[in-house]
Amino acid sequence: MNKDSNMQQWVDGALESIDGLPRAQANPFLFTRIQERLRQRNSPWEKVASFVARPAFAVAIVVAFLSVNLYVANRQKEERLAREKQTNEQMFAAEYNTGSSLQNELLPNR
Amino acid sequence: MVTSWQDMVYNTSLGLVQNEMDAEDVTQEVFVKAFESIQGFKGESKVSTWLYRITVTKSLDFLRSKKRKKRFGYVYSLFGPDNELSINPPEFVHPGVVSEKKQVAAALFKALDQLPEQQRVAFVLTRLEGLGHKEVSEVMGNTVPAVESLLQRAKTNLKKQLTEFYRQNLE
Repeated sequence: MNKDSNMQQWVDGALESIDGLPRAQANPFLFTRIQERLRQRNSPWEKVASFVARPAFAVAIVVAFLSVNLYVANRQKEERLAREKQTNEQMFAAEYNTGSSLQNELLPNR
Repeated sequence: MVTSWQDMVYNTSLGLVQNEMDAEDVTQEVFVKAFESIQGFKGESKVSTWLYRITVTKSLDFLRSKKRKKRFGYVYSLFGPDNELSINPPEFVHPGVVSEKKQVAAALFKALDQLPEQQRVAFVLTRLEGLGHKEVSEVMGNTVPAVESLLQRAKTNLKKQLTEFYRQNLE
């Protein structure tokens, strides 16, 4: 009983401990710091930095990088396939000696 | 403007973020935001109410971002042996508390830190800033009965947490 009443007193004491508390005072140089922060925000470099620091910008860069990579890889694959096709045709022509007859067909008046 | 309202903004922010350096940072952010959006202030509410609103929003944003960083820090610390985890900051005591009440006030602020956001805001504005229920309702965008209910719940929760705190520390 006594213990509970003591506990209640402590709890009430804690709740009342901030009654009539004076306001905490801000740093006297606050105004200068705010001016500096405003100056920084208005500088073009800061604007560029804040734009670059956006997650959307990072995502856009990654997407652009992957797209360029895919485009280059795809193009290289197409070139490789075209080269292979050409080589196969040349090999086929050389093997069956169709090069000259093909030439004859292409140039019938010769 | 800054000179007139800086202590009000700083004191409110300090009650919410419970760290002097963080409160100063939030105070600077509040005034920068106020300067940037002063064109949008139509004078429908008092300047103090408008500034309280910005302060509460900025302080809660700061606390949420701190919580996110803390969570990330915890995950990060699991993967690196050299990263020390600073989950438990030192006890906060409001600079206005007299020395003989510092210990009990520290317990109260610790309990206050555990309250849900809305209850904490209502409690800080009422008890630290001395605002009336009507002004608190204007700052929070609530009705007066809603603010009274928040304060009642805040008090009940604080009492519960303080009782638990004393039970653990005094037994």
